Amino acid sequence: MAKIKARVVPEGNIGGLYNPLTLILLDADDVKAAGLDYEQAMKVAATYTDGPCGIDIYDRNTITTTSDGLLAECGMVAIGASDQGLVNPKYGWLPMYDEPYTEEIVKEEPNLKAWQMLYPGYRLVKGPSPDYKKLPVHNAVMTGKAGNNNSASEIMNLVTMKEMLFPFLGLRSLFWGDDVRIGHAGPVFSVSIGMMFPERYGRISYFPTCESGNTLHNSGAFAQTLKKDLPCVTCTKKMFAGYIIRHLNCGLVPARDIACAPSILTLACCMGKEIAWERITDRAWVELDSVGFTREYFDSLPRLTEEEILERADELIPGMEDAVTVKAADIVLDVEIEF
Amino acid sequence: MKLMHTKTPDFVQKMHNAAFKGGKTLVMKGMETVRGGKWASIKTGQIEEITGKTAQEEGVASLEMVILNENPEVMKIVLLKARDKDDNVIKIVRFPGVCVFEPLEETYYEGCKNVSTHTTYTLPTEQ
Repeated sequence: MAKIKARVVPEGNIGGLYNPLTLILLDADDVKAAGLDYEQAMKVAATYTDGPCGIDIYDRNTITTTSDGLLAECGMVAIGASDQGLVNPKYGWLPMYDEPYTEEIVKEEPNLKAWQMLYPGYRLVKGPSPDYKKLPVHNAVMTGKAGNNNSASEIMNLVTMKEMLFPFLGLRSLFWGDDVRIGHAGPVFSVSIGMMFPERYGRISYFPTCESGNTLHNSGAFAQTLKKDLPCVTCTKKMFAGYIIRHLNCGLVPARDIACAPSILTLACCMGKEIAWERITDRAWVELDSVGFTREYFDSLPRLTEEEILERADELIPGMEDAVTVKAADIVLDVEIEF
Repeated sequence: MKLMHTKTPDFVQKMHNAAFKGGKTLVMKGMETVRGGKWASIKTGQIEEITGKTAQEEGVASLEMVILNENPEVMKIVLLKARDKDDNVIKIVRFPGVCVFEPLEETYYEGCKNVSTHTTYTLPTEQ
């Protein structure tokens, strides 16, 4: 009987909040070494438990994009959902889209200017492959009660309706064995995740839905309430600050080349970097203002060195309420699944 | 159209009749929000036939029929209607593309592994 290694985040209490799905995180190298293709790996992973699962396969040779437009190592090459040990044949799993490097795509999606500067030689994977995507809108995979949406960043039990947010850097931190922060998303995070970067075949949106100075939520003062009560797992603020700093140092301009999320605007101000203020729409300002990120606040921020920003990341990067820092080792189980 | 499609009340009655002919009762679930509409007759006939046959199988004491939306990303359109003091509609705001995720069929398997598919053709979208 063969075996495949997996990292498992069990359903139930993690960091004091309820995780509604068992998450099974696989390494593409382990999948290959086991002689499995992605679909077979999904079916093998589904046998781990009869309960609802999200299943994600990471490839350490890839990068991917966050909804802010930041690039990050170790993208997902396939996402899945299982229930009762089954993977729904039509909606249960999807491979991700491999975006080839071209000058045209860098022109259309200027955040990709950072690709060759930060990650030369890495493949870029985005959201679900258009050749396989079945659902008209959402980048979701589903089986039974298990919903693994927005390319694994929102997981939900469709019967109990419990949900947990796993922004890419948070879930990847668990896969990598890094510390994570677990708490309620809070109003600033709720606003922030609506400040998206437009891309084709993206992890969150299948087609460009929102200009980088605008808000996809477009909900006025209600934007802060949309996700604020959801439990959420993120990377540490220091790690996130590091990503923002590196992208700003590549010359990416917030509200033009990457999103106008509060954290990005904050660090850009602290670093004295250019911001495309004129591209931030009135609708985006309504949402930013509603959680205290007014133009006056941004103008009042002190100029800091990169080292000072990293030291003060917990204070400078907004978002999350009642959050605790948890070691991945305290949550994640290293298992072997037989097949 | 009567020959091509089956009225919803007729569909429900036909399924109960098919089970009853096999001497069994049928519980139908998932019809709570189905109002009006017509059901493809080709599918109605196939479901009727298999329901009748299954009702007569050895060991079968009762039947349950679960009707689900096959596409779990159910797209709704929301209409916000404003009325004046005389109850006339004076304004409508449309919100198209409102998605509701629904549980998929495996939710209702209850651990049963004896699952078969009955269809006489495969839709291009299923391939």
